[in-house]
Amino acid sequence: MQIWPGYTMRLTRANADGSSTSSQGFVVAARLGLAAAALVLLGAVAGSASAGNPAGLNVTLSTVSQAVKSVTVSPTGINYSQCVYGTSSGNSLGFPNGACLTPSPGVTVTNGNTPAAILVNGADMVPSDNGTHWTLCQGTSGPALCSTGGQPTPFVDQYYETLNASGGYNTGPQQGAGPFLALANSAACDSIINPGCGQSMPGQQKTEFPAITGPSSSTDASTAWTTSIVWTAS
Amino acid sequence: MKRIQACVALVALAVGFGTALTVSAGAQANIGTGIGANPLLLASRAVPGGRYLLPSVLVVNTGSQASSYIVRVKRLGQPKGRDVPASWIRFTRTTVRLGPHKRAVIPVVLTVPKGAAGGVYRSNVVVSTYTRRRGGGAVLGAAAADELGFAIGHPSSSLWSWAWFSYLLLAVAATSVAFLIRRLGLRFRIERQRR
Repeated sequence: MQIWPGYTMRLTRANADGSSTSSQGFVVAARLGLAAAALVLLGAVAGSASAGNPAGLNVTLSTVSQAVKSVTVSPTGINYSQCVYGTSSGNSLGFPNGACLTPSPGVTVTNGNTPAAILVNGADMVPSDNGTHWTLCQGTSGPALCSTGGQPTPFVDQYYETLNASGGYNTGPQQGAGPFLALANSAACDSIINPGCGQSMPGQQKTEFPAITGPSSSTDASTAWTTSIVWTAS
Repeated sequence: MKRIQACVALVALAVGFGTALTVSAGAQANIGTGIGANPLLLASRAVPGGRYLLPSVLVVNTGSQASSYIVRVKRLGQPKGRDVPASWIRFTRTTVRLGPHKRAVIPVVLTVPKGAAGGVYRSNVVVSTYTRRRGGGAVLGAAAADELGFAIGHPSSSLWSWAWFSYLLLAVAATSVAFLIRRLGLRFRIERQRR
């Protein structure tokens, strides 16, 4: 078959005597192959021609927004006040084991639009000179004991920080109504917003009251101390 | 005299209204953190020495004030599986500041070291508000967490992956066709015609 002016492609099969003959079937197959190649070439030429004179088509697509797990907290900070026990005076925590509370309206924690488990964690109490921290202890049971029995009475450089639903002090004769959730450095279920510790419903909201009981004594003599409480939607 | 009294009353009213507005705005201020609810899971099995693009992290400021956020890997609770080393996960940004109700998308890349052990790895990506410590009291924060997970295949299993085997099949097929053509005695010949 002629593939170019002056050139012929021949498909042959060697016979037993050494001569060769063209096979009609193979020739047809070769012609079909060449036709396919020509079609591909034509397509490429057409494509390049259209590229020189482009016609645009704007395609837009809208998708649903991704669900978001979230939590909001109000206000953004609190000052412990109305301190009692030991040498406490006004809004200043005294020793040994003074206690302070958060007055109304407390802290409002709100779950977002998607069901989520709400976790909460506390942190060390850090003095303004960044000296020796007070570490969190968790009552009379757990890995970081506040005391060996009875009311939590944090040891040297320890403090006991809790959340409850009705406010008040977390230890001593003026203790408020429980239950109290003792905070730790690692996030744990917030049983005040969701006592069952399952997932909170969309928009579920709770007012919570942080409170603290300070150490028996402090190594650091600073008078200004700071900590943090973080709620996590998980 | 009456005119002065009226002016004083108006000023007092304006100051009182302004104060009430400020107190009201302060009372409503809240901080919020949101994260896309889809977990960050790698669909395919990772291999040691590989680099993979994980689903991006969607961070949303659900609060009423501008906030700065930190993005990090932190295991919450005790999920089954190995802990994900934080150094394997790279966020294109680890801090972001967002206005109220604004959002940001942060791409995430997983880089598995060559010596990584096989197995299932689990952790969390946590986005939390970042607030500088004040001079007393407690700073309150909001955070949101997503699951992070992937599995690493045993290093020797990659040698027998489908891609490697498919190349072997192709080579066997090509050799067979060449052998068949030679066996049938077929020849392609291009000839120039003489005029």
